[in-house]
Amino acid sequence: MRRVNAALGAAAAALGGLAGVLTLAGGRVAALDQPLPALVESHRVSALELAAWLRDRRPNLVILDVRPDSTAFEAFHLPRARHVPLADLRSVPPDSGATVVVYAAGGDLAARAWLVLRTLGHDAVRVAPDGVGDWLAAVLNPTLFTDATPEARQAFAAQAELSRYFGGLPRILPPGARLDSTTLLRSTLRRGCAF
Amino acid sequence: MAPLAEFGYVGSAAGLFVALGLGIAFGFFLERGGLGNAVKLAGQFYLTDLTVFKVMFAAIVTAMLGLFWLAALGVVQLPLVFVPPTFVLPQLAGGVVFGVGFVVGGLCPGTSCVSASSGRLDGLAVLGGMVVGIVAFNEAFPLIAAFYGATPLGPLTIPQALGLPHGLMVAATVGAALLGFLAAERLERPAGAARG
Repeated sequence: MRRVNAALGAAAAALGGLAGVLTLAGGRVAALDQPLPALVESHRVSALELAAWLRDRRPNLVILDVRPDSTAFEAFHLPRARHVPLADLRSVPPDSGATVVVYAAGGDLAARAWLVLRTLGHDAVRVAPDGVGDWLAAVLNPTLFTDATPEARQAFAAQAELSRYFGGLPRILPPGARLDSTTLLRSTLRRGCAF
Repeated sequence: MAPLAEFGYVGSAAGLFVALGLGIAFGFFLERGGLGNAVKLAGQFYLTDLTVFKVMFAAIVTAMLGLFWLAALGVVQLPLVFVPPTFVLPQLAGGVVFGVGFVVGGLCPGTSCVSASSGRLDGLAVLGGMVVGIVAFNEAFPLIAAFYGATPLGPLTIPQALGLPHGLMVAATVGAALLGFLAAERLERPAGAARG
């Protein structure tokens, strides 16, 4: 028994020591320390960027709504989105030519879906952690304050054009005014989506 | 690919069966290690029998090495592994309550189940006390709800808290465990020799 214990202790020492040495040497083992937000940071896609892709008919674009609740998906989802909850992502076969966009309504759900898809062999995966909220605010209800700079007005003109394409309602508001979430949702549901 | 639930290999029902299987295995090995015996567990506090320390630290090191190397090989995705959130003050208070209960009863929750299932009356008594404690906690919950959620730090691991890479934390923990095992053997030997 003592020999078995000594052998197990030696094995633990070897595996533990190797973990430390490989971590100091960098590479794959050191990459384990990257938290999820840091991993997805360079793979984010904004609602406006996604809207432009949809308007321009970007080929092989797959949009996945990974929220667990199908009722929330039926109430509102992004154009062309498919409802595939996190646990069902294995049913989406990897396609080397496709760009997959995963979104949720906040939290780290979409980032986790990003990591699951990357692990399953999807090459190009982009993530919109609060895709629902960003779409409602930036695409369907963009706002400009009356005291905005000329540069901001110019950018808003392009955003407003994109917004109208998807049935949005661009607004110009007095400085400091805010649209509450009920107003955003009501105006969104009234108009529906362009797809 | 793991965690199995995140990748959709097991649902919540299957997860419960996996938990049941793991719980039975854990209980079996606790029992075989003699940890259903309150006298053996009390030896921990007199430094005469450090089986609890050795079993628990060996389990921690085994799980830690397994998780680290499976992650390094790409089998487990560490960012997807569930980490319970940290609440500093309530968990400190819980630790004190747990410690006092352990010293007074001679058993902890897991070992009390093992002890009771092997027919020991003291195990049954501790298990009964645990049930009373659970009911009392739930009844008193509205009074302590604010404290229950105080000082939240979210899901926090020791490497994150200390700013240490996982690999160095693994190496340091294994080193500490092996030194602890050697020290435990030295502490136990004189006591064992004195007993005869």
